[in-house]
Amino acid sequence: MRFGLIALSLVAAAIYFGLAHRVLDRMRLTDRQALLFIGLAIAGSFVDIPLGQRTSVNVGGALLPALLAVSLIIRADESREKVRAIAASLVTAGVVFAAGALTGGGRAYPHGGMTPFIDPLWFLGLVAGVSGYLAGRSRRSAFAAGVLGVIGADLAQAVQMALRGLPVEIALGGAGVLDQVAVSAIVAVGLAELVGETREALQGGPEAPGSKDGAESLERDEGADPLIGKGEDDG
Amino acid sequence: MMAKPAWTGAGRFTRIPRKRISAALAALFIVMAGGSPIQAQEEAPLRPLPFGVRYEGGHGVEDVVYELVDERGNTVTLATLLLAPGDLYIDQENWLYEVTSLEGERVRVARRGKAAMPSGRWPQPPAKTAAAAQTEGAENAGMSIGIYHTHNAESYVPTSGTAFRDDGDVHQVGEALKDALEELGHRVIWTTESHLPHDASAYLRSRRTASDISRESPATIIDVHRDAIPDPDEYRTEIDGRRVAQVRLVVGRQNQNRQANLEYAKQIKALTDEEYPGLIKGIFHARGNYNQDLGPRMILMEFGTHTTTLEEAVRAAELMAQVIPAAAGLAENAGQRVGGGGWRTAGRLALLAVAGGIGWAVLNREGFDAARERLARFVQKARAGGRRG
Repeated sequence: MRFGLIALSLVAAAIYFGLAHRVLDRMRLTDRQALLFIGLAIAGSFVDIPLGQRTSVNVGGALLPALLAVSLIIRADESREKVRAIAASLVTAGVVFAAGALTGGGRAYPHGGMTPFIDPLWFLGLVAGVSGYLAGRSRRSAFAAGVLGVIGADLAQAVQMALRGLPVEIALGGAGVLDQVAVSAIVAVGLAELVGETREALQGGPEAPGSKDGAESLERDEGADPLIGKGEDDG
Repeated sequence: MMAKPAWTGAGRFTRIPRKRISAALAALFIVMAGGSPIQAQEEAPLRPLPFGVRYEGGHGVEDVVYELVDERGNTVTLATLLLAPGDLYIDQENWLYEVTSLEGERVRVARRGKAAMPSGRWPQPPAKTAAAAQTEGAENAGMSIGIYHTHNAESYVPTSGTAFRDDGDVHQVGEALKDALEELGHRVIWTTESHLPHDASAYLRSRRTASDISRESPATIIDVHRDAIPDPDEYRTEIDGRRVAQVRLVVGRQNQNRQANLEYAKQIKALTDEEYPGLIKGIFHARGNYNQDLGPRMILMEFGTHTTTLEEAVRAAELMAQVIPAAAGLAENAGQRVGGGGWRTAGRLALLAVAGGIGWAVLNREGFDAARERLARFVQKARAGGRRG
């Protein structure tokens, strides 16, 4: 392959995995743990575990991210946060499934389902990000929603295919670290980060504790709750 | 872990998360937001489709066909691809057009001169590409070629009596391409993995197939389709006295590989123009991704339209098999490339990442705080200077 294409691939990979690292760094993982996670996810991208009924799960693309998301929910200190993260995941699954089905071609969305403005890969990632962030209102809830929401939507699709008798294989996280699961998680956390930072910048600083505002969980000490994000140790 | 207040109420931050999502986040958003808004239009009723296929978007037989019209009112081409301002089209004669506006089913385009194309110089006859692939000089010697189908139902009405069926005719086009490539000595990974129905998730399902193929490190991956222009003559040509379906190439411009893939498409066209003039109808460089973010030599090919025959499309596939290996670097020194696409895009991405990082630094609280303090100091100094003056 020509050097220019190699350089392009390297820069794109560096940005993508750099983003993934920053996201994982917010998920109660140290820098080293985040790197190890990425390494395992890349290696796991080559491993598919069959689940039967034409469904399989990719270790790096779905299993590891799902385990991390579930562990974040389990380790949340407050049951309210757990419920919120689970609800965010369910809402995201429903919204992503519906967005995929409703934009299924026709005049408005040609070429086999083009979504408004941007490609389905990015659009559904943004949908997952927005619904995950709005429902979860924290970085870690957004991550859980991004991962579990897309996997949930895929499972719903597997059921749909089975009911219709379509010979379609559903490979959960089948594109490995480049799957929509990972893309949606990165977009969801990025969105939570962007919204949270923008709000704080606009209001001149984080809000006082006890605020009832929707962005409350982003403003409090993030080390206190695994679904919210890290605190000083972020630095 | 005990929660500590992030805000003391005394006007200063006591605990501020220092790390921010890296600079490249903003860059990614900019790259991802490369498309332009388009106006959604009312859906038309379509003829019954195979079970599970809700629509065959953009390819439905009763679906809308867009007419690309230049500044002089001339029709440049017809398309079923929904376009947006900024999209590009390179026609058969290599004229470059840019979409300027959409007026219902009319797409206004402006001619931007001749597209920069590679020479299309063949160092040896195309039939010898397999032998060339064995030579050390071939850029990607020994690598395989991947073929898959995102739209598995696409079929040819004159052959099958339907435009869509679960195991679509387009599979046979892919198989013909595979057979012809194998006959030339190339290793081919061809899959008919189904990605039905044709909703917005079709490309996400086929992404997993494309990703599977890419793990074999192929020199190129081809997504084989057919178009949906009602008039078959729009998509026909004659080569060596035989009627052949024309081929249109589609390059998505909402991913980081868009420039590299466009150059690859140009390479394919230039070499094909040299050997089989008229076989390539044109190149769309349009919004969308088409899984082409997965690699720099990913291409979508439309073999004919639903009103041409399967046989015509198969002939086109057999001819394209003579060209693709050379364009994908499986033959030595095949033509002069339009250079620098990879480097240019890599450089732009790096610059965007840096710009995004600076923007992010300004946006985050520390940046604002620091910027505010710096501004306050500057104002203080200015005032002091003014008083002294």
